[in-house]
Amino acid sequence: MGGTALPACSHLPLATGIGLRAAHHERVSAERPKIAWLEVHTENFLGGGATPALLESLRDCYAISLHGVGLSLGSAGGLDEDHLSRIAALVKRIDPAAVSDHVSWSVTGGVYFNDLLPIPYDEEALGVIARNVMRFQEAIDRPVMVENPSTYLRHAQSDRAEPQFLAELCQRSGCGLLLDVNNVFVSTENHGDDARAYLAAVAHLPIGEIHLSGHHLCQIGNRSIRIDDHGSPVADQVWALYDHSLALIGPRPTLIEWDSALPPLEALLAEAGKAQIRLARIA
Amino acid sequence: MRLADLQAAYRGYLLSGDSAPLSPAIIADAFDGAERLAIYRNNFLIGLGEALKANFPVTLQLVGPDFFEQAARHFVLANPPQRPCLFEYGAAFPDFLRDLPQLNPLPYVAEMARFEFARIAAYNAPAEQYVSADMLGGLAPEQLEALPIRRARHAHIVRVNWPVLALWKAHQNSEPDFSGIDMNAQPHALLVCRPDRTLVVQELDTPTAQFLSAADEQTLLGGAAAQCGAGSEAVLSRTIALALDLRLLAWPA
Repeated sequence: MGGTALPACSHLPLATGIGLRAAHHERVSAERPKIAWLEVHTENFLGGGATPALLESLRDCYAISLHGVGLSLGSAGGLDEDHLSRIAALVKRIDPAAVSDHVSWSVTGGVYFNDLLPIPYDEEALGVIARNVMRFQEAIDRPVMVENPSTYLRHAQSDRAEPQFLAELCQRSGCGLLLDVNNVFVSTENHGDDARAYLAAVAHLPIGEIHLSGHHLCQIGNRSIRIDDHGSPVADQVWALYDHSLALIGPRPTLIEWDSALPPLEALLAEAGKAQIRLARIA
Repeated sequence: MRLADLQAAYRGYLLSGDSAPLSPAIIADAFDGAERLAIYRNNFLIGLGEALKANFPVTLQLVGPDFFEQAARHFVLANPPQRPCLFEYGAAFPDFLRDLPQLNPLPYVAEMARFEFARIAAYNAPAEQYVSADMLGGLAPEQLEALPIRRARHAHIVRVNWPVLALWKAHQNSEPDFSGIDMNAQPHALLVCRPDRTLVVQELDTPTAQFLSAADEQTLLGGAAAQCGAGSEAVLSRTIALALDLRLLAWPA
């Protein structure tokens, strides 16, 4: 079993948090519900107006995690320096407890595809993403975490498994891992892999945060595929994998993510409460 | 395949839907490459359609979800975002709707979209150094005339022909009440601004709209005031009082 000390990429409290979305801004701001930390999508707070001011005001009550969805760390063309400087300014203003983005790409040829597109797991892609992660860390002057993606395909040119790729990325760039347990379940189910073997292969990495969310099982005739839509409660199998992860890794700050079909705030807090019980059991 | 070439192939596929060039790079098993890629294209199109719905909620109500989703899909493929901040996405959507022949009978839809985008732009505009009454107080008349000003970036003027503001307000209720809304065309200007943390929206009289439009680019206070129309001192002082109260004027950078 792992320890309780967090790696340098995470200063989050050892407790559960919730993803804060626009529909809940007003209530969270007014009612200040009892929860240790909040995570937001960085890109929603890069305007100059009232939204970053809201985030700043929430810092009094909550640790804040800035979770990016648009830096496109896997882009062969490198990072968008203008976007990076906006993120760096927000990091400076908010001084968040954690900063993260994904092992994926979304920008090429001047188009932002607004999706976490998969990268091949090979030497060239490893070099590209490690270089981009290092540039990210240099720009904000702190280590970041990268999240394992949900994937629906594998590239023929991949020559190593995802856990190995993640280990090499952490080692080369000095970043940490944001372990999304739902994504582990979705990807391993979609590709006929073993989720517990995956977790065993990443357990030794500097994991600074865990994500939990719901997904959707899509049935096409007698075939099925799992789609990560963050639109439902955490699945029973994912709760079981979460327990298994905690036993392997030790307690970690854990986030309930919900994006589509967003429920009332109470439901989100109740889901976080379920994770908190499991976390307290191990801590 | 080199990563840059692979990503260029994804770009081609996502925008065209033709998976033939990219499929061989994907492992086929229970699902073939085209089926697996389609999941990503679906996420791309649905995700950006949702982003447009979030940015244009009343426009969505005016045309209904089916029409909106179809229009959004065409718009996304023709105008995909260039930047990752989706609150900035859709600046060209009002003109796209204006040019759709199916919407010719509903000319207020594109105007509503323009109004809704102005709300988002106002909400997310950066803070600036605003011209205040204190600053103006100490200046002599000829200094006031020659003062360089520019409309603040949070302040948007939306010129419309239809009762967009009344329609927008009606749609803030789950069961909109349209009685009392005069659906005759009448050109007028709406001000959408965010002097502090809250949006302010109001109809502008003609002199004020002309004054603020003149300050679209850097100008001199005297020059903008002349656009107010000659004559009434009272009109000009009311206009300037509003501009100061709502922080509509900024110092040019």
